[in-house]
Amino acid sequence: MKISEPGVEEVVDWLRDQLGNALLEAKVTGRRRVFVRVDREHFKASLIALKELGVDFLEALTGTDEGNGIEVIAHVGRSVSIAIKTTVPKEDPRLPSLVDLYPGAEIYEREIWEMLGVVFEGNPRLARTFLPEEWPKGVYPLRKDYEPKHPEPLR
Amino acid sequence: MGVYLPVGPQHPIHPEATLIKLKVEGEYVVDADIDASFVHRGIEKALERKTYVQGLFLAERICGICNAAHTICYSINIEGLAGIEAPKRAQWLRLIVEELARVSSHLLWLGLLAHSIGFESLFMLAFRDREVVLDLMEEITGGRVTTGYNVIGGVRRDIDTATAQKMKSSLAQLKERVLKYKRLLEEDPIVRARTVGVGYLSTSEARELLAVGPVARASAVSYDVRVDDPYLVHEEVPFNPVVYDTCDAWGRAMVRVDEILESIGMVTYALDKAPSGEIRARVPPVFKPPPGENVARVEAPRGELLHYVRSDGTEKPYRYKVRTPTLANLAAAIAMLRSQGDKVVHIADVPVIFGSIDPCICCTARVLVVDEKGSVKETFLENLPAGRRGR
Repeated sequence: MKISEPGVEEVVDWLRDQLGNALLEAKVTGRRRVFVRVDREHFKASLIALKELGVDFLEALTGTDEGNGIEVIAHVGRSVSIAIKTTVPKEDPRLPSLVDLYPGAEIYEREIWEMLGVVFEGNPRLARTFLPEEWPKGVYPLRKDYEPKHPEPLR
Repeated sequence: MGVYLPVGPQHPIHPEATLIKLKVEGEYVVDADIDASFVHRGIEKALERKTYVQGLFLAERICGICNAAHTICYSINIEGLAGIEAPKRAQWLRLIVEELARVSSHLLWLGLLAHSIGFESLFMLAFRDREVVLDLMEEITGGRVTTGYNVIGGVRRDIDTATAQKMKSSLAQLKERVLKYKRLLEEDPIVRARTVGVGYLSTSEARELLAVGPVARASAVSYDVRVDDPYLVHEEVPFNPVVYDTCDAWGRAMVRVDEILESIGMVTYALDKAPSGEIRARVPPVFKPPPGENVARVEAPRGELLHYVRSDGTEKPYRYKVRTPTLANLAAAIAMLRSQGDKVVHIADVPVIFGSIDPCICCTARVLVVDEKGSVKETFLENLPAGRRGR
């Protein structure tokens, strides 16, 4: 099965059309690269809109600590790489889960939940996967305020 | 009612520490989950504390076997961010090393497949033939496994005519042997009995569960970054993406064996056609890319590899994210391990099924274990004593 996907300009036009003012910023950085910022309420809606356009592959989810909030990026597309970005505040780090849209997103959501503490509402298994069992609750290693400590050497 | 059966974290078939939590009813597996927490190294955090130039060496150590893919991805990511273009010849040389690494990785995998079905002589033969590639790799790059070949702006060493000639004759011999293994996979009744129909993953499941690489291509999803989003000179080098529609472990083995043959063809072609010229663009010693972000994708031996970087204008990245192919394929592996409808999964098939995604848990999770005067400890990389850094 060969995959055919739209080009970056078509993607930006389509998202502008579907999301209107919810699309905050669209930046084409290369022949097959585009970065789109949307507001938090339209994060999932933009991925649904892209799926209607024929972009049905979620490559990865990235989380970045921005100080007051956490930026979550969904990288989608096979022949184009579209980054859908949104920021959630640290006091209320919630986003709707993408599992019903992409069942394979479960493990990516788990990773961001463990590393940065973003709760994906609707994910059936937000369980420990990458951090050890004895890791303290509420400590998120990829947040900027986490300083890695030197563990006691084993002798 | 089922019984929980842990496979791992130490299991003779899997050299890496992974815990596969199985729920079994009699001999059948009904549910599965994977715990990869034993080997988390915190490399993404460590990359935020290194300069861009130092980060390259850390990126190389994300995975031993796909180190070429990781450094290519890191280099083109940073080059894209800073607006540097690697010279044409460097791109051809990168392609040669990338494809050689693919041959070595797939031969290693073929050996492990043979090992997991108890075919020890094929295991030995595959590992013997992998030596041919490792020796060539040493000749080109100076390192057998960790090559240190790619740098931001190009590559470190050129390939001269004598080496190219030697590579061509060694690869021609290797091709004959791989063709033999292909026939063996097609005909040997034991290999077929242990792999045909085992680890079934339908085309729709492969798409929904976001499988990549040979796992997707064995389930008839034609997705190869080299074709869909070419990042080196792939448009100028002829090759056929390998796709099978058997959706099982046998198909995954065939995809990999055919890819070895394709890669040998690509290397031979590239050795003849690579243009002469510079191999490295100069990068300033204090390297500060402008603020911005970039995404790079590479077809690693195990599938699509993604690197994302965000720069704030300083000499260290603000955020560096790595999504390895095994992480993308874990969801597919869990689906393969579950009995559903007509599909039954036996406990005996678990090593073959989990092995068929070519798992690389160290890439996915990333822990550093340092052996220091006989004692072993786990630590973040920046906490190493200064003398041991960078070695």
